[in-house]
Amino acid sequence: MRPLVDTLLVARFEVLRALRTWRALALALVYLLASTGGAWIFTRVLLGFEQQAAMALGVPTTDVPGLMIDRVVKTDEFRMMVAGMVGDEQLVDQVLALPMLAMCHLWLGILLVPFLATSTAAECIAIDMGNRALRFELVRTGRLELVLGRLLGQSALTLVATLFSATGVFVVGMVGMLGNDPIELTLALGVVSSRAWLFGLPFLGIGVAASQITTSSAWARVLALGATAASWVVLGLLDFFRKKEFVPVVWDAVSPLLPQEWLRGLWVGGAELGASALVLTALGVGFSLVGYARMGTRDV
Amino acid sequence: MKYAVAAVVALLLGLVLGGLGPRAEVRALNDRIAELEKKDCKSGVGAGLASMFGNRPLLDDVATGRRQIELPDPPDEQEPDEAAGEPPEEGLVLDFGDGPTKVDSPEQAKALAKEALEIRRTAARAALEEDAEPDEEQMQQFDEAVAEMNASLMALAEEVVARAESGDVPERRDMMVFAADSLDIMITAEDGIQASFTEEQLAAMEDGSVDPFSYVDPALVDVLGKLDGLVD
Repeated sequence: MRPLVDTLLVARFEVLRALRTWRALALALVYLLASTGGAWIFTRVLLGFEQQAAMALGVPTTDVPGLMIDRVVKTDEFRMMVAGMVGDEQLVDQVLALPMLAMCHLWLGILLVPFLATSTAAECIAIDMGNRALRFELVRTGRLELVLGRLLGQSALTLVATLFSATGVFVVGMVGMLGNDPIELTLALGVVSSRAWLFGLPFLGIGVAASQITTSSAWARVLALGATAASWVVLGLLDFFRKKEFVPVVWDAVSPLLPQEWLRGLWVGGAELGASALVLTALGVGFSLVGYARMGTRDV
Repeated sequence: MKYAVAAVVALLLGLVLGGLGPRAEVRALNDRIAELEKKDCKSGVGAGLASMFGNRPLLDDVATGRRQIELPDPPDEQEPDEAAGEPPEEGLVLDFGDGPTKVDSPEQAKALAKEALEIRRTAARAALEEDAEPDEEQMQQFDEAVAEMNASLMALAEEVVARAESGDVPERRDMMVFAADSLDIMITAEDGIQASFTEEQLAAMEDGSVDPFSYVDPALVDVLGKLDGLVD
């Protein structure tokens, strides 16, 4: 029981320290700006589709999108765009059941949260290890508890920042679009923000792992961002080889370890979401333990 | 804590190792599907029917390809419609901006026409409100003009339908009078709509926003649809 209490205490300390140093606020603001900007751009894209549909029907065009959503979602061009965003044509109808801005928020979250999460998590141990402050913490708790506590604290911070970022999207939905039901949009944004956060967990693990490998926070961040970007590259490469029917065994072995392979559950929800959530959480812990192989034995 | 870590590692190992077999199987099945999709779709009904007569060696051999039967050359292939000297038959095709939609029945055509009118009405009203920013009084005046127009059009249409249903088939002149009456109603509505707004507001609006045709009630389609079959 004691290790669990220690882990929770370390996590609490991590959150409080982030609040004290304004790091949490900065993190939330970055998420907010990125999400709001992305949502605003998406409304402009939507407006383009609507104006195209309005011209085809010979009806007046509007400056605010949202009025002709029902018509736009039936067009082949829009469905192709959504299929490209989701990566699977068969999921288009399920995804289009979400409010437009919620769909956009999840898609943007899938792209942004990993990079932002891994970048912030890369600092969580390296700095304290670099200035030797970590030694004083390790007098009172174990190394594993410290690593998992930091991971948990970073997860909590990322969850708050991701949920907070949805407020900007909500404002865009109410001001920059027509026809959004505030309650439905709020609920949908809450749900998709949580899913985006789930997808960020493995990348938090990558950041925490990088943070244990080096004492330089800058170098840790480079390692973490590099690994995050590499995961997309590996996904593309393996997909390419799979289509060429080459190295299929490697694909089969590596693909479950790629967080992107578990995205389907985040889009469709239900039981698949449960499976994805479990695996993504396990990947987050598992990746952070890769760094622990070095941290567990090093002289701090 | 170490047990929790061990559980996570076990789960990930299980995913990697335990999934190897099923994933290979899925991949093989996907390959098979892709292979089948590449092939031309050929019916095996002929061979199946032949094999039903299993004890007849001749047909069995034909079904399995071991024996060939020589058939006379088929006549030159010719499109049936071309042979008849008629153009190929096509259904009504409508396009409302989301690609051509083939209409198979009058009901479907009516539904599509009503949908298009509804979209047009909603879009025109939204554009009007956005461009002119009218006050409540102006919108009330505008709504009254539109409601009056739709009520008059509906009454006119019902009159024509009632005449047709009573067996009094409208002549050409009757149809011209109907068209003239309809235009009168539209002109009155146009004046009413124009009078609802100031010059500056009218200048700011798109033409479609003040066009009375943009606000025709889709229910009119149902009424006029009753003429189908009554009038040639």
